[in-house]
Amino acid sequence: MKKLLICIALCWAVFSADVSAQQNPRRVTAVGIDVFKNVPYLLFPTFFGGKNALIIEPTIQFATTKPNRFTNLTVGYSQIDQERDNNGRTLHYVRGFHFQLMQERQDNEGKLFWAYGALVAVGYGRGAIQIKGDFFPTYLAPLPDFSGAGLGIKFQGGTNYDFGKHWRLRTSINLSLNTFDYGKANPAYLPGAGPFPSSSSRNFSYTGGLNLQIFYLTKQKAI
Amino acid sequence: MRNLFLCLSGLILWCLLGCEQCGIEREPTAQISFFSPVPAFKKVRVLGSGKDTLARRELSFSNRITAPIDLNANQTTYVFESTNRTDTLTVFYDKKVFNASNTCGYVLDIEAPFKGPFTKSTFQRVDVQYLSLYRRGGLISGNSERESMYISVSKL
Repeated sequence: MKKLLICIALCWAVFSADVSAQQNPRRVTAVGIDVFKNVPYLLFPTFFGGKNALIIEPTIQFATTKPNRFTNLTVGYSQIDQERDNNGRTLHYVRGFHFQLMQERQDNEGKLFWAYGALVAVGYGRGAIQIKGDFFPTYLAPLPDFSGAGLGIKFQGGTNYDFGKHWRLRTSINLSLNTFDYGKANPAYLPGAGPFPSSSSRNFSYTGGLNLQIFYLTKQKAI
Repeated sequence: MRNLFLCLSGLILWCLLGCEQCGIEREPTAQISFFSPVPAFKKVRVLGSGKDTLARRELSFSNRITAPIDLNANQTTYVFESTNRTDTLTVFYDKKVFNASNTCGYVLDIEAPFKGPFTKSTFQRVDVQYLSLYRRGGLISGNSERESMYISVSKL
């Protein structure tokens, strides 16, 4: 609970820093969704160690009073059945939500952007120890249900490609540093941040990934 | 050179202190050793397994046999067939899941049965030693990471 309060406070700090700078009410400049997050798990579930993934990350982008600066708010849902450890020893059925706030800056042409921010995530699920047999059938030992929360600091950078009068394709890479606590079950996925490297400790990890987002711009672009 | 030595020393120390083996990670095995004259087994069968027999090479060159343990049950039976006799050996065990550490989380391990016999066999003298596969510290590698039991047959 204490961690969750710290997370919320950090997000609020990022958010309020921008609020204090602006003079006019916030205006929605774009709404979008990430269309890449599920693709690796759909195409190569074994390689990426996750099946039955469903990751939905809609984003609303707000203008600020400062030129070329925006605030991105994302509320996401993630679910994944994850195998990890040597030989897929543990299975985790992770479900969770996250809330992410990013401060974004674009160049004058709006082609390049970079952003920083924070995310708060809650996750829950169940797990099993899975032992694949050479002689005997696969054995599953169920683990207790788990739940927990995490906090991450995220950095993102990428490019915008506009098409049509209202549409924008955003490709980017992201890196986040996370702290989290699921209890003792030790799953390796934090909603909003993604899978951890298997070498991560239980309370701290780094994650990175690619984003491919489609944004609908509320204000018509001149083309 | 001195820095290299320090780095290597640090790495070895880190392994000795920090390495963990997180319980059973692959199908566990039992090492069965014969301390009386070793009979010429034609076939060793593992009851209930998909493959049924152990590979011939595992029987030929030593007095030890490495045989799989069935996690789906609390016992595994091996049948030893030689020219003029057939023997059976059943080994009993319990499975436990426990929270081992922050690194491993929950682990699965095998231990001696809480009650009841450890083995049942047509061999006259059999002893069994149960080994935990959750290990902390020390260098961990090789076949030892699968062997949950040492079974010794000292009298046929």
